[in-house]
Amino acid sequence: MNNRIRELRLSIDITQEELARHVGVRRETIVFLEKNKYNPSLRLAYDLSRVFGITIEEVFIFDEPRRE
Amino acid sequence: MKRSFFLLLFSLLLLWNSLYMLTSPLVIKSGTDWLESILLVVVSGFGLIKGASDLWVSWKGDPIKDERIRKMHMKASSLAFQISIWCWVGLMIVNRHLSKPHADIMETGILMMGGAYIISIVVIKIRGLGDE
Repeated sequence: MNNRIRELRLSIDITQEELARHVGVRRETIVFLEKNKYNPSLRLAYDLSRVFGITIEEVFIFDEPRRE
Repeated sequence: MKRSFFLLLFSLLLLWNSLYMLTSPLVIKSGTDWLESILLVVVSGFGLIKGASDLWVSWKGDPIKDERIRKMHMKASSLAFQISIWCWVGLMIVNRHLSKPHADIMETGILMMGGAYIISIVVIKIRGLGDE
């Protein structure tokens, strides 16, 4: 799963630290999310999309084939 | 914050003690003693880094534990448990040749469990959690 967090964060001109504060996680978690090294919980995904003012589907891109 | 401070203090004392053990010829008498001391230094060093990092994070106003940290610790615990089982089996086999007292083997095994946990944390930090 890929995401557009970095792109969206830069578009609203906030730092990783500020975004982390908005969604109540550590800054490292935002770093891991931007590097696609961590898939967030539904709650965190919802909070992130709410900060950007768009839907979850617009933030996270499911481009992998479905696993068996 | 209080917990992080105590972790930092305890790790500092443990590190000081383990470094003393490592440099003292009275304590280090065999290869197992070397291994135990080195493991103790690694475990206390990890505790020191974790305590300092948690203090820094809480001083900045960030949460010490968030969902990624919780998931990371859960995965590291299960991975460390599996590694530890193999460590114990290895120790049992090695001890048939060494014939060391059981207390010494227990000490090494427990320290190896700590080492396995640290290795798991480092591996997960490098690889990331992905689809967990």
